[in-house]
Amino acid sequence: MLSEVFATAVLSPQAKVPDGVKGNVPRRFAVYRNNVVVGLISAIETNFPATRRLLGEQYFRGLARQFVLAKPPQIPLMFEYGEAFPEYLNRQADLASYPFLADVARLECLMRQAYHAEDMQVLKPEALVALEPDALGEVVFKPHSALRLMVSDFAFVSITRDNRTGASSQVAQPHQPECAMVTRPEFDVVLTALTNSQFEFLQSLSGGIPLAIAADAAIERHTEFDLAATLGILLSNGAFTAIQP
Amino acid sequence: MSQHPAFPVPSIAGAGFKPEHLLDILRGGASVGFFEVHAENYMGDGGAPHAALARLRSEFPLCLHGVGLSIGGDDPLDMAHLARFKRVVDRYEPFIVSEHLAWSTHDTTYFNDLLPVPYTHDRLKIVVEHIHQVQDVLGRKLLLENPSTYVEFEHCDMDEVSFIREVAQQTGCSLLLDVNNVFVSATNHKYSAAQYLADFPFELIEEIHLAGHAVEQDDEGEVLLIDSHDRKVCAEVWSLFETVVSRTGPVPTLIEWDNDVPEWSVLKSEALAADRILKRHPPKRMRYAV
Repeated sequence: MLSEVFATAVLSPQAKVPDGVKGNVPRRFAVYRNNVVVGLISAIETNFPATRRLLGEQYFRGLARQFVLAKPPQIPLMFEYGEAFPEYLNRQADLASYPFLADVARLECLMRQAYHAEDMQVLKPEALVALEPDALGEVVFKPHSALRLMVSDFAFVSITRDNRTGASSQVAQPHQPECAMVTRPEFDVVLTALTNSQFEFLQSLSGGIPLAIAADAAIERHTEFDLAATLGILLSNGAFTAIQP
Repeated sequence: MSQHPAFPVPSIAGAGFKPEHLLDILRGGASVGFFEVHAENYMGDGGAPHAALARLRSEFPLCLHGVGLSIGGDDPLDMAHLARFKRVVDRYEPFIVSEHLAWSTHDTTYFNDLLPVPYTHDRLKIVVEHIHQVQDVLGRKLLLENPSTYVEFEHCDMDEVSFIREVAQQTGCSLLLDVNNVFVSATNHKYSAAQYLADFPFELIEEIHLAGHAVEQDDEGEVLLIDSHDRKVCAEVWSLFETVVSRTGPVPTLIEWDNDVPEWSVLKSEALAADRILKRHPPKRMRYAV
């Protein structure tokens, strides 16, 4: 059918104008090709600002062009486009000396998911104050819709934060493993670096393990674990929406 | 029960909504009659985009403009996408819901552009079937917008206006007339925009779009207009708009400005310019009520 040849030619820079189009009009056909490719590149630029800053605008644009031709979107939602981009970065031989890039891009995907997540109330620290000590230990938390967790062998939280806020595009010590918590207490996405013990504790809580059991496990494995401080970080950043009944 | 205020249908000018304009819009002063958004930008679950749109919707009537249903495509409609579309309609209760005579998806790949449709009787059947499906799922009438095009197809057996009129007659849909698209396509394919408009079923026009376009050159060095939505409306399009309004009377008219978006005051002044033209012409007929 016509759409088949038209579609193929739009995503193939070298292809000739498809049969069925009137006249010999490569420059006219190129308007569609240009609209499609430039529009999709622009979506990738919007969706990966830190990755873009790290790679430089020009280099990023070249990569994004290759990516959109190889992996065009499968649904009409541009804010969801690019889930496959981190893996694409990972396979680029030229980027082998920047192994943290793919994880920065993955984190940007999670931040975008959090930005668009369903609106939910945030569980405030005060909600725990009213509970009896026994009841407190049995508390099971319901994760907020925006909560996302990720670990990396690289300092991807620091790198992403620096390159999204414009603080610095320098990457001082990338080979420093980090744990990321992504939350959205209201409309702004918050990126927090957690320690290993805090991260494991949060994983347990968001997996439905009661507070006392999760806390005992954390203290057993990590002598430095500070329950009150950790709960403060999790609750003040909006990790949970409610206490399970 | 409706969660939004019901406004009378504004037969006046409106503007495409850009979130960066929200505070200036709400600060008030002489403003526009309504806003329009692309449905696909509000298909996330929650967060800032919805908070901004809900705030706007509490004070203004809203038009919802789809760009991704691919009504003119070979493939069956994406029912999951249509369901997402319905969710946005239900959430914001727009007074107009519109889509394009174009296609944007083929074999699951989404092209993020409005690609051209061949005007044949075979294609007419497909478009009619798709609009029936959309109207059935949404439970309301769709407005179909005429496209801007850069190429034409061989083997067409209808012209664009006949195709659009036939679609409207067979589906009961109404029409969104984009005057800039008429000017762009007429210039690109060397036909008369005035004649196109004279033939257009103006009694079915329930919304008008105006926008700016870029001027380039085609393969033979001839003028090629690009529907870029990145500048002010040109004098020729204003003049064609006045011709249209002299026949239709005041119709909700939208200024589209999607690239190189200016300050709100600039966009607003374009809308107010459209409004002055609308107010020069008396109503021709009763418009439908919300």
